[in-house]
Amino acid sequence: MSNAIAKTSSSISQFVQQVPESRSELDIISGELHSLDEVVELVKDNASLFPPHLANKTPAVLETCLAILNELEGCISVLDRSSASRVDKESRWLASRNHIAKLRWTLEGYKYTLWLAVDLVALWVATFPALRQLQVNEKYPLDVNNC
Amino acid sequence: MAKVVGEIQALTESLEEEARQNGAVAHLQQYLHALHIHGITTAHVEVNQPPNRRRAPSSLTCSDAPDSAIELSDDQTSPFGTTGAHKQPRVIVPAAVGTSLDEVDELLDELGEMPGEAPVPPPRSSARRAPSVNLNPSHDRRPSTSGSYSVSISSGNKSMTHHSPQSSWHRISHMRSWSRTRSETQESICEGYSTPGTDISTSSDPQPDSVERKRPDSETIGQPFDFARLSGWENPRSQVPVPDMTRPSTSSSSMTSQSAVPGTVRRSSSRLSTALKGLRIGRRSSSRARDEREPGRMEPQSQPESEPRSEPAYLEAPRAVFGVPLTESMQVAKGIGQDGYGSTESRKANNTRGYPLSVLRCVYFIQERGIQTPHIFGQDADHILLAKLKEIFSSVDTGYGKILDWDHFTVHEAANLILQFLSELPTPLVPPTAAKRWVSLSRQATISGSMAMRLDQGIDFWEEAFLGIHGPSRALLRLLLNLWGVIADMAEFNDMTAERLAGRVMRPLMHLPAARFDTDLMLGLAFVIRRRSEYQVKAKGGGRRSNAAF
Repeated sequence: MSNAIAKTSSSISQFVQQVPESRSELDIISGELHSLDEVVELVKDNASLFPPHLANKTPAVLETCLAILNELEGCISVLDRSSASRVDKESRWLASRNHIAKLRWTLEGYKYTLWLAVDLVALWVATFPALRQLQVNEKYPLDVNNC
Repeated sequence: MAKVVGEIQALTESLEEEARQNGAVAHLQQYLHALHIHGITTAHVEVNQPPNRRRAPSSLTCSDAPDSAIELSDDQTSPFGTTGAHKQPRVIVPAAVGTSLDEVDELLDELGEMPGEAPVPPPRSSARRAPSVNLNPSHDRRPSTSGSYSVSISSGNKSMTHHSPQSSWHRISHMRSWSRTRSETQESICEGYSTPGTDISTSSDPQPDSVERKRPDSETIGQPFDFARLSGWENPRSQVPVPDMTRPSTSSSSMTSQSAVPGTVRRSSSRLSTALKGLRIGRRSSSRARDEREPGRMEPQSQPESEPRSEPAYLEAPRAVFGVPLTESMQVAKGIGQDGYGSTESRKANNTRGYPLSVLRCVYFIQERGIQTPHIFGQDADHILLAKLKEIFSSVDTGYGKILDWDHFTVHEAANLILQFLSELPTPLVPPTAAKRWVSLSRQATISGSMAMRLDQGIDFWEEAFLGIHGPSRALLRLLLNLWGVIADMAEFNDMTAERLAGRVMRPLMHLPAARFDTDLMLGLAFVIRRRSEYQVKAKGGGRRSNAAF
């Protein structure tokens, strides 16, 4: 996931250099990706603390989030094809803005959900500190490294 | 926990419509449902737990993360060059029923000015000491949650379907348009905001010419003068009174002046007033130890006989107005303006605030003559004139700006002087935490339902936007935001959109290094300027919508 985020951020940076008009919106997406990277790191670091039913569902959520990221990166790469002139890239950007905005909207929803999950787990652990010892996730491992 | 559960529920509801058409969002909604169940279960168990077992300190790494999905964590890559996290204490004061938001706003200012630590309570008397009770329950008494989880796990396994990434994404047919959701969200929010702002366009009619002619003999700038001969406040605003020297320059003092009996306990508790009195006494003693006289103050005509002057004011060394903390600058040269959109004269009279005189005068000047000036705040001023203007506001000879002929200057000098004042403050008027909060607020505005959810939780937008900014800083920020909101509203005349304004003012406001331009911070500030413009237009009534609205 971190690799995908880094790759997408890099694609965005390259495209913004080509089409400065896209800076305002793509900078927002870059910020979202940065925040998403943070929350994914938190999920990874605290994977062992997730309750079992959440630990079971979270990998699927991360997979879908990764799919959205790949879609976004794909869109940017298509817009930033080396064969296209700067004017073409700009016109493609204008045509694709809505679609990319939709991708960003969905990505934001996933990011907020993951933040809420992290908050919830933190509160749950604070409420039941002894449950950390049970390590229920030994039965339901949460593997985020393959996402 | 309740807050997190509320946020989960609100996010679930906001995604409900989209989930019918978007597989990815439907998947997300299922996850949110699981989070919701878990949150409710945890909250239920937490309530039933004995008090000492609640919220045990956790060494979880994510406790260092932001408290919610809203705040961003400070890190060492902050553009402001700070190291380490600096978290402002969060003060959420739910508006009581029947309490005006003006009063709530003033209460927040007072809370901000209170001492950081609570006063040490007196020791308990031996008669009141209760026998110690062991409140540690056994582990057996703690409810087991594994049973409740097993049910959800089984149901979760059955209901969860694994969508292939590509197929799930191809199922996305259409989503709501951004502009429609944004506009709906903004309109719904606008109605809920009624935090008082600074009313620059007060009812008083400006009479610049007549007031200017009442000035003493000097027609040129910078001539020495005698304070005793001054007849009144040289300002187009007739409602800019001279501050009373006997009272300290705090926002709470505006309330004290309204009470007939000195030391009258206000609507706050006696403990609050006692703490404030102690704070004021401490400030008085420290200010007296520093200097016995304060020549730079705008002194009233009738001075008390018990405080004779030792020497004339204009012979004393001038004190710094620029490059010093805001409170210190206001002790030297302070102007009082209105703050709030009170409908009655009594409310307007009660909502007065202290501002740095230089900034206040420049704001009034721009408000009256420069709103439609092209590129106001957007272009540099004549540096010679700017230096002269700064000198006037720094000189005791001119009363630190009390004697000033604006005919020698343009609105660009006034605008640049404001920015210079902000740049030279020792600490930024907008701290990094507030700036980042504005960024997250601007992003949240794009998620439908999130702002409405926050309103349901009683979190006022401006309360959160100004979190961490207290007292004179908050009043000054409101003053400037009101000015920039008005300018942004007139962007069709002056070409200064909220984004252009934000790009020009964010460095002096936030003390950003010159080599760095942070788009996020600029957009966050532009968002706040636009919201302020919307709020002002709505507060003034008339059914018009701000031109700076989204």
